[in-house]
Amino acid sequence: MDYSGLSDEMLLRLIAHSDESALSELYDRYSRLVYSVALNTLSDPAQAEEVTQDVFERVWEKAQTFSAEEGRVVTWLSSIARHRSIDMFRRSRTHHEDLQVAWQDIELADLRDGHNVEWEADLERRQKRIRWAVSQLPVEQKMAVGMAFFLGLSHPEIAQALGEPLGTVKTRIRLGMQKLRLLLQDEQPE
Amino acid sequence: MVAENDLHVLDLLPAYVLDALNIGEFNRVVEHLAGCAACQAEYLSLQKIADELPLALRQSAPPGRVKASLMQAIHERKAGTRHPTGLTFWQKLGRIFSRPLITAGAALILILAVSNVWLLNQNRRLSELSNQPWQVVTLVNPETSSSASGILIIDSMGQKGTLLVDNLAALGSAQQYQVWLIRSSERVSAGVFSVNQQGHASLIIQASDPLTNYEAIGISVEPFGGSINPTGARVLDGTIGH
Repeated sequence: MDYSGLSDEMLLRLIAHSDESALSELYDRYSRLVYSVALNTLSDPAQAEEVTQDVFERVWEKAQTFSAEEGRVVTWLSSIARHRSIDMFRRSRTHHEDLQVAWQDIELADLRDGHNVEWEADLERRQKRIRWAVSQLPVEQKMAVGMAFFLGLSHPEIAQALGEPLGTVKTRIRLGMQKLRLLLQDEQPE
Repeated sequence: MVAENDLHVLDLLPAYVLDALNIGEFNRVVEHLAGCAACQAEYLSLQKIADELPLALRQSAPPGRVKASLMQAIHERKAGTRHPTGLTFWQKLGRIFSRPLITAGAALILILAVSNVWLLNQNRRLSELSNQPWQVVTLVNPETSSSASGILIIDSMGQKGTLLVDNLAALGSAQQYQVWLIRSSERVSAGVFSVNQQGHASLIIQASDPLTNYEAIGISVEPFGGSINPTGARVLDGTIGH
């Protein structure tokens, strides 16, 4: 059976019935994403590998609980990866200096060509849109948004790490997210 | 005069979807969202943006060994077997006791030791059981009219409990309920769980200290897999007596 043409939701249904090949296909599609989320948070390849395996083991155990009405599979996967990584990050880090998030420049996007299946084309389109939108943010807003989302830091922790006033950090996060929404509502690059 | 945004939580929502709020701000947003359609719409549109952010990261592939290890673990789990690469404790023990004389002597000592310990434990348990009844803790949400409820039955030794919950709302796939044992300012996680379609779930509760050493038990909504400290709304709580 060729799994590459199946939707993410169909793969999860098969995984819920203990289909190892379906899990293998889902891993091939999204292990880069899961590993990158973990690596950005933890800055430690060994810990990122541990999180990656853990996320897909949880998928194996919890596939039957996924509901397509509540979101996409890729969002579910990255959410598990982010929360698991932030938990590990909080246990292992006691200070917040020299923290960065590696946003992908749109010009350097490593995207494969020749997409024959719907899921792959959709993923590429969404990657291009969000990478373009993030690239339009001022660097300070980009940094504040990334530290909050991927490192799980609160406003005061980000202010302390950046050496900026608390109000400034709050404003950067608010303006950054509002600008991203505005950009993504308008015309997008194809 | 109060500004429109002060009445709503619009300014807090961008940080809310990024999980950057402190607990006070977080609770204010959660309470407000429950009854404000305008802020709910704003929240949903910002959450969609947050959901896309992971796709904007620079991506790297994990080493091939991660997939190999994952698939091996899954395969063994499916088959109901585990094949550790090194010798287990029991395998090592088996090698030590492979000689007959050592095995016979050790077995005799072991039988005598185990039987003495067992008899002592039985005596202690019997005397304790006669003095301490099982404790039943009722869990409710006193702040809402929710029909959700729970019950924690703690054994007579205070070491272990069985938690049963009823009529809890089924959560999305990104969230789970988390159990907290509470003592003064300390919050100790006692496990995460999901409920079935009927809102039922049961869970064995254990901690490093006896359950009766804690003052209360609470259940909150947390990201899937749980949090280090409570971050979500508390849906049930109960007081543990002593």
